[in-house]
Amino acid sequence: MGKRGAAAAAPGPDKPEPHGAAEKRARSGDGDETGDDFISGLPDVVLGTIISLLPTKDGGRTPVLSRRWRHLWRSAPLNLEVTLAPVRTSSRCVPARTSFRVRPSAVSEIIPQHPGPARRFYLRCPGAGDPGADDLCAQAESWLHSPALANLEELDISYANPRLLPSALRSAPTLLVAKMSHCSFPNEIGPSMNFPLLKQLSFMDVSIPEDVFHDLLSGCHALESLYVSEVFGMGCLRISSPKIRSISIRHTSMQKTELVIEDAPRLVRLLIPYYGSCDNDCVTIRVVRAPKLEILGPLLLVVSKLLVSQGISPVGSANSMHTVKILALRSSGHELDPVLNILRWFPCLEQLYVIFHEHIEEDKKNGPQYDPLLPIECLQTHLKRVVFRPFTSNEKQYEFARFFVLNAEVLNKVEFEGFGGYNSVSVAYQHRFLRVENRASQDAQFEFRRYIRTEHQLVEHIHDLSVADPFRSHRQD
Amino acid sequence: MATREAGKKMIMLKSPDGMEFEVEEAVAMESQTIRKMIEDDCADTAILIPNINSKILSRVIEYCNKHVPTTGATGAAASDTVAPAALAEDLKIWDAEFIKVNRATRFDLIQAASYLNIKGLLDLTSQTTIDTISDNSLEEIRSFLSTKNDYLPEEEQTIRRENQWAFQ
Repeated sequence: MGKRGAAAAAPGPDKPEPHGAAEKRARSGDGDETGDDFISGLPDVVLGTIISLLPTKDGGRTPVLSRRWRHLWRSAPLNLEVTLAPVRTSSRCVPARTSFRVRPSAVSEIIPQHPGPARRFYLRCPGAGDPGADDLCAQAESWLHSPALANLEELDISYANPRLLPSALRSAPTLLVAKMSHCSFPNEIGPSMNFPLLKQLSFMDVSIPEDVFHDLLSGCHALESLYVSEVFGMGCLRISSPKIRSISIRHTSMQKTELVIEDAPRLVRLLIPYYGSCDNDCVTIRVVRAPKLEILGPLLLVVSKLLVSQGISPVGSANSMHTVKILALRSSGHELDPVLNILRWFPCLEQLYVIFHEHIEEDKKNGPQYDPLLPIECLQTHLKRVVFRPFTSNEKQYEFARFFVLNAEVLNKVEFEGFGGYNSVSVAYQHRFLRVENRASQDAQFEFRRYIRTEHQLVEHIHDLSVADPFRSHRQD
Repeated sequence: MATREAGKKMIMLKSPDGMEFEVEEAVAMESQTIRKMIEDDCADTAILIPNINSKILSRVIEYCNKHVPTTGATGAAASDTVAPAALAEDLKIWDAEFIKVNRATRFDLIQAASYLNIKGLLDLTSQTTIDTISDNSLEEIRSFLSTKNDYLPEEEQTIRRENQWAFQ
């Protein structure tokens, strides 16, 4: 649910009222049957919850509404969102009528007014070269020591001043969500740092020594979702986490990194988000124990090296993951064999996304060629859905798709996301090219639709465990 | 504690107007408040849910029934399950329909979700109010919420000055 959706649709003083506002008013029921002030009848704790979910300025205005609201803001957990950068709404590029975050100068008024605790602290600080940056970091350090920011549940800080604020992790015992970007961790963060409640952790463009990362992670006993993007200072990320369900990693720098999933008994998703077709991922992934892993990808076939070592047998049939049901692969589309070889690792695969993209380096013909006499188990028994995106209808891509049409025996849907408009004539033409009449699975349906980029959607859904298939495009038709 | 076929543990919830609802334990445990009662063994017989009438309670149960398999809050078995994508999308559509209620009911649901500590339901029911307050003028908010400004003009000015930062 887009929390800022309605804010963006709010009518400005000079603008005609947009459609969303009228709808909102109808829903919120003014001119409602009775016109009763139901909201003021809610208990303080409920109104406090609502206030703590409001953007900072909107929350700070509520005491002026009426006497009922007079003291609620002070008793509600504080949501403090501070930025030096020009303010925009987070919803799609619609500038806000008023800014909802506050400037640092306002914080010195807010902090003495609010007794704490806080729900969330959000800080955006510009690059290290900016004259205000150092000053802001020093101020933020003092804010974090005030009672107003005690017992934070959410921390979202981004600043290019290189060092992590020493007090940023003061709320470790109460944090549920932590997001840190553009900073570097010191070589030590103190002994036995514990995050007993932390569920979501994101590191973006963060430099952190390997042992600090591992110490930190070992103190996160409740962690469900981890995102590391462009993290430096580590040759190897080892993950042993009892409750983790989702891991996402993005690493494009030349410095090679290895991700080793040593023991993740509840891991369901392992995502490797990317932004564009040139986005190389330079990470080698080794899965030692992830007995519930169902969703994996998109793996870049050129450089992604996935090593599976469940069980003790180093090679052969034991080196496979029977649990993976949804797999996404990024391929240049020039060589089918590497794709087929990787499919052998996933005998119970049900859904496959093949993401075509141009790549300077073509898939290398390393590894064995596909041996038609050695059947691929998932094609015979499990693979039900294959998606090709974007499908540009070149001969190599047809060859790819045809292979699945002719060999996947239990397929019930093949989806092509292309650039052209499809009509009955062009679809019939596609069917002929794909040799649909000779399909291995009589139940297979073929769908052609317009391609919508999904890379950003994948990044947005990193921590949203309710999204069951993060590769599926949410079509806007 | 009652049990039903398939060995599912059942829990009896009672509303103050005397209605009884038999629900699966897993469904009832969508409420963190009820979960705590069950875990602390305070739920041998029926659980009385104060302040929530049968009409609202039945809607809350409807919500929990719908959400029980996909949320992660219902113990090990459920939290390991991943719903098919279509189901997750269906759930969002279902939520949107569920919340099409009049304002009185919506505020009753907010109150119930808060008391029973059902995060998903509280988020869903309070979102409309949050959207209403976000980035609208005070006059608009008062009008949307039917809240009367009961301050004297000079009082309002004082409070405005106290929170001047929010009006800049």
